[in-house]
Amino acid sequence: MLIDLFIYSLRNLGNRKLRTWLTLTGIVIGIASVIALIGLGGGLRMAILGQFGGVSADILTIQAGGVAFSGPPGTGVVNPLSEDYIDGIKRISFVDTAISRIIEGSMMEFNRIQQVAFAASIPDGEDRRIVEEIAGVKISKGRLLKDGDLNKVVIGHNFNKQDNGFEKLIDVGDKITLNGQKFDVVGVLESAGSFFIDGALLINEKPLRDLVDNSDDVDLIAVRVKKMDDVDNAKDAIERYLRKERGVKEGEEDFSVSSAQATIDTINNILGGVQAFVIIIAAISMIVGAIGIINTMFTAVLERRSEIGIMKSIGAKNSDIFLLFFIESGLLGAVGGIIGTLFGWLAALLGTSAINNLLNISVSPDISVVLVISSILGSFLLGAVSGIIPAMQAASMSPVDALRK
Amino acid sequence: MLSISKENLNYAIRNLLNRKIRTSLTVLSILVGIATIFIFISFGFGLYTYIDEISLTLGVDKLVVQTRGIGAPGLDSTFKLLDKDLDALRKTRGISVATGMPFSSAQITSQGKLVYQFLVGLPVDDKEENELALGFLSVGVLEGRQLQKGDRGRVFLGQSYSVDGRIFDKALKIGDKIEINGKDLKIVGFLEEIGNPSDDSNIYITFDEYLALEGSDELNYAMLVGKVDNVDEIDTIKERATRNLRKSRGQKEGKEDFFISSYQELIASFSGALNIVVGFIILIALVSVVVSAVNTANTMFTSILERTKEIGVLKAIGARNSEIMTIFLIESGIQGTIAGVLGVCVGALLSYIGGEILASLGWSFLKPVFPLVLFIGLILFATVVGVISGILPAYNASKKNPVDSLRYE
Repeated sequence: MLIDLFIYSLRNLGNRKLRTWLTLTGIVIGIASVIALIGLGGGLRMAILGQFGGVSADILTIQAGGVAFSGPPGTGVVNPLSEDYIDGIKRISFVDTAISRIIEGSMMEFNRIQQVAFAASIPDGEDRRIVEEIAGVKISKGRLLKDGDLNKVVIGHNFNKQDNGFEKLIDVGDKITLNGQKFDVVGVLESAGSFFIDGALLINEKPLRDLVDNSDDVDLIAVRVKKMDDVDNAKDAIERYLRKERGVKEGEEDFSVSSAQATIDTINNILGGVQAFVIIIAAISMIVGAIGIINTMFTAVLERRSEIGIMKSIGAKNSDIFLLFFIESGLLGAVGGIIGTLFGWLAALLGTSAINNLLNISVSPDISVVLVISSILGSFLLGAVSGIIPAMQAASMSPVDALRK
Repeated sequence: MLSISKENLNYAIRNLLNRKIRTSLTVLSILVGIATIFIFISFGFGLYTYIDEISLTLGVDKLVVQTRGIGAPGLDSTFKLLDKDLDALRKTRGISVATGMPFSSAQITSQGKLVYQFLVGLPVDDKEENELALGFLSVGVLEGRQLQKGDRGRVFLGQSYSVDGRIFDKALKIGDKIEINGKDLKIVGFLEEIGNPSDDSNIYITFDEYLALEGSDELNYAMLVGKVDNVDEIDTIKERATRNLRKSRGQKEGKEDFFISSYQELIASFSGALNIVVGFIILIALVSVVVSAVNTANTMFTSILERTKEIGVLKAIGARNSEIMTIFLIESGIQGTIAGVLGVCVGALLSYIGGEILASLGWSFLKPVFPLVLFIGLILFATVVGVISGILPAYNASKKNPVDSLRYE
């Protein structure tokens, strides 16, 4: 029975090729633009989130409070963190180790060209290995820093490229100037796919402090917890300790303790909001496509009045007639969805390759099986819903009136 | 030749009225797109108006010096603009008055709540310098008074602090105390609304107070502002200032860690970014108009199919091809026009409501504007879309063979 209905619907759509194609075109454009934007936006979002990757889940980051989003850690801070907290934090039972970092903007000169770059500190001794592990830095040329390296620097992968802004790639053995002081490049890092590592200069803590002549201030404290499950407990304990140490009340903290996941969640939320806004606008065209289906279906019902009359008079039930038109409009939606998804995916591919060429990055569209299935299902539903009113109109026709017209 | 006669018009209107559901659905589908585009253009225009207003109050005769650091201006501690740099700017020939603006992040406590906002130092000793710095804020005093010479322990606040629930649960009043970086300061006045939550949350104190709060003996300016006495020479003066600052900072040409731009240049770069964003959004909204054009074409094809016999009769009694074409073009054009008129009305209503909601949230700079040209332009656009989507169907209709058409069942 249902198969008969399908065949009948297909034949009807086939009989009105032009109208079917035009209706499909409308819905295809709508679906394609939504899919393209979801794929493109998702890909960009992955690329941005990838920048924050490489931080494992058992790491907590402590920063002093300041106006949000004003720059790298330590920027715009009112009451900076201090080296003095390290021992206290290490004594907390959930904590494996705590390491202080400083991150400073500096004026870098090479090949007679100057640029602003940021330098991050690497601690001495045992902590060195831990920081390297946490940050996920691996050497690709030369060597990593070691204790006692004074005028030595390890450069991020981006500086080792031709288009680094210095009109010449920087390599092991080259000399660069930071804030007027000469440093030897002893190593180049492997690309981590993240700007924060690929664009960084690593210097031992002591020479970096000398370079920017700041006191004991610390921009960031990285804490590794003993057990992954204790991340929340460790966070609470650190907050309690710092509240006492800095003399602030609960709810008035002038510092923040956050897990890598929390940072990623925040960024994800913001990017998701932007993407949702764009997709909603694109979805309007899908609604317009649905209006097209409604229109086509009303016309089909009108044209087939006498047909409906005949079917009713030879015993078709109201529900049969309803299903007939309902399936027809659902089919329109589903076929539109399949073609639209295909085009959308193509558009997202073209879009990402254009972005990749333009910005010299590697983004790929984020189109999952779930997205494909749900968009085809969704457009089937869209079509079916658009068909409800016309189908109801057809089903409720009185056979006598329908035959008379 | 296409000519629109009264008869053609009446005939087209009657046809549309005979198919009310189809006509209204076609109109609805164009309307949705037109309303969407209206909303974004009206907000986009609003932003351009806002920028124009700012550049008008700021004037064309100002130069701004900033350092190149990473992050928000003035917060990077590596690159500083100091008094010697301000002096270098001040002494530049062609600069009539100059001042600096120190920015820092401050911890503000009131009603048991702690927030972080920007603290801005204002010059109060020299009247001209004070005006130059205040001119940068582009708005006047809302309540109370501005900071004056010798105002130690006093603070002047952005508009957000005078609104319940914006920053603190209860609005602050003149004479209230507020704790900034651990020190109690007395409020002397509030600034008018600038229109974005970040700027409206700034806190202003005198240079002396700023030094006391920061516990330092020299100001670190986020930017320096200079007023030139002859706008025509602004480029020469800019070069001269760059030379002087280079000298005061001991830097060689091409290796400066600072840059100087005129307000005009700053605004131009901002407008450029805005163009891209607004353009992108409207482009996406345009997709829905394309879909509605396809719908309109579909409706027209259907209506021509239905009237095949009618077209045959019309031709048999002497209607020319051009007349048939005109009739159908009028029909699709009218649908576009109606959709345009209704679309701009819906769009204007939604923009107005959206603007009110944004303003109540403190985003009053995102204010829609409703220029007449936008209404007329979009109605015309909708009409053109209607006519264009009717061209192919109308051409088809006009080329029909009268004999075949009459025979069509």
